[in-house]
Amino acid sequence: MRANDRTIFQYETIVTYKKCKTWLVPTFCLWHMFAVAVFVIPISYPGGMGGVGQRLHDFSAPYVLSLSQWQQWNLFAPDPIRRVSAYTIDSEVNGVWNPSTIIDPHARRFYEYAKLMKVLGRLETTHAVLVEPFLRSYCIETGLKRLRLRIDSYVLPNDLLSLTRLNVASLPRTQNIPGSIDCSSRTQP
Amino acid sequence: MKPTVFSSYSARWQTFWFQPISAVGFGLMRIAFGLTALLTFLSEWSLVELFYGPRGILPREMGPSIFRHDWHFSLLLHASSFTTHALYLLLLVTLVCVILGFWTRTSVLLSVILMYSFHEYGQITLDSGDTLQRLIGFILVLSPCGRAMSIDSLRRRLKSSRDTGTDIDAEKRTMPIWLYRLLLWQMIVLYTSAVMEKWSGTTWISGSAVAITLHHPHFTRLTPALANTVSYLSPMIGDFTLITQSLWIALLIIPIFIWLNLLPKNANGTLKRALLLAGLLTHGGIMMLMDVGTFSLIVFAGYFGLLIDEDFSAMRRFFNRSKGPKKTIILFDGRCGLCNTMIILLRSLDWLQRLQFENYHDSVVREKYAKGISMKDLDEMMHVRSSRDTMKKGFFGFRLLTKQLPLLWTLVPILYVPGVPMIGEKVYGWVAKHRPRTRKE
Repeated sequence: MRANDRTIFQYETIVTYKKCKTWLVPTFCLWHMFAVAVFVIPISYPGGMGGVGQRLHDFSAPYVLSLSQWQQWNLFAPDPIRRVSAYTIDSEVNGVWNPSTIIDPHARRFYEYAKLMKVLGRLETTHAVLVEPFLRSYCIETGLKRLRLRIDSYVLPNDLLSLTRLNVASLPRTQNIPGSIDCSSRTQP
Repeated sequence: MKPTVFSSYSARWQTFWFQPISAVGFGLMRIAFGLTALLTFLSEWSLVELFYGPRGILPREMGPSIFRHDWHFSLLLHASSFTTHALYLLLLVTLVCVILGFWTRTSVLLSVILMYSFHEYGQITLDSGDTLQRLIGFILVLSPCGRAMSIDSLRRRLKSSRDTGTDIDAEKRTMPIWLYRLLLWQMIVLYTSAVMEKWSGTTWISGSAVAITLHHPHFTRLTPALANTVSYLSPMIGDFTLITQSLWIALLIIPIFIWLNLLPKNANGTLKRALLLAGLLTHGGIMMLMDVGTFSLIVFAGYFGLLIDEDFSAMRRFFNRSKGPKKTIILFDGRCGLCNTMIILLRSLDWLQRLQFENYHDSVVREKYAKGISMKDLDEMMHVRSSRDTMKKGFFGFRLLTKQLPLLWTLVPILYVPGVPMIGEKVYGWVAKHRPRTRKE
């Protein structure tokens, strides 16, 4: 009796496992495909589909974020970045700001270039709050007392004709100081 | 019992998700993923403290104000400087294992968890190449990507050869197709959302988008004068990008037409290969003209994973189009362990299926392929008979083989450099003389 029970049990287990696999794997795949798609697309069109897109986005967020599957494919889109910036660290000596370090990623090793440009670009746009800790690393490097990040920028034209005969020197420049730091301050950011 | 409508659909469902496909594509993707990730993280060697350290650009105490509050995970959140560096080194080691296919499942899982940790902490440093690395890494974690192109697979094949005298079943070098479908979906989502973003702007439509990027000193590798000249091609390159990226969604629509018998069965595969080729041109062009990190490389890694049996067959047809049905025959010593190992290696590299392996201890084989060659000669060195029936031996046999194996194609010109054959013959002679002949029949 016992042997028979075990056989039946094993048989049922195998059947159940196969059935589970047949349905669980495709269910997971369909869910993953759905979650990834609805997470990505409404980011660009948050108000699209009468707000349904945003609700679907929020619905899939826990899965997508916890598995680090978030993504946004806006490379050179909707339009490529036209703002070109040069980054300089100024130091204050006797109340006058002088250029101390020109952050020229081209002067760094070629494989560090893209990453450093990405970081500097983010400090300029979305993460200005991190300018201070960024400057702190230069406090140690330069031994100076007060530092600030200066960003000199110009904007590329967007029409093709101007771009085929572009003279960068003729473009108007702007200046921006996103943050400064007192190196002698012990306070951590 | 007669098959019911339900059982027919059930079988189709089963095939749609579980049909076995070659694991070679995913094996290649694993290697390319590992190489790209390794290059990315090695490039940060001197920046680890700045990017990820507790006193770097994002100090630990500032984390809560920067990171998203929900569903955020990183091993670095409370790690000391020492632990951060230790985890970084561990990540590099696991990535080397991923490339080699050594303890593949474990190393892929570990490397992806560590990669997630570094990416989730250093979000300020991330670019699109990093994002795609994470996405491909996730699919690799789910897959048996060590079943092909790995040390693990080679060890299994060698063990099987030692124990049973035969190679492992071809079945053990396959994987279910649902992993491929996940990857294909990911690439469709990538290109479709990218092209939707581009359509919503103005410069891609007006044709100046490529010209702008080529003039942007943060990205371009061109001089300003050259950028001005190349800008004339901007509308054409932009349109090509928009059209080819838009077509990825067709890979979902075409199967419906095939199902309705409105298109030939190979239509989807042909379109996919055309899109992969277009992608190679686009991303290859980006890589040559611009410095945008590792995005192009990781896209190419993803392309490897999209290659399945029908694509390998199409590639074989293309590369073998000038070849006749005759194969290159390798006469090998079936009693020698080293020779058997080499044969398994060669089999795994024979992607174009141009080789045929024959054990010369079989008298029928000798009669058919090695007539007039003494046993002593056969025993002294490897004999390779080309598809044109010319016999080459030793180093020259090896040189003939390199022409048949895509992975060794880069060696071919070197092997023809004057002086190399002479050295090659000596090296081959030494190896042949010292090879073990201990395997019993």
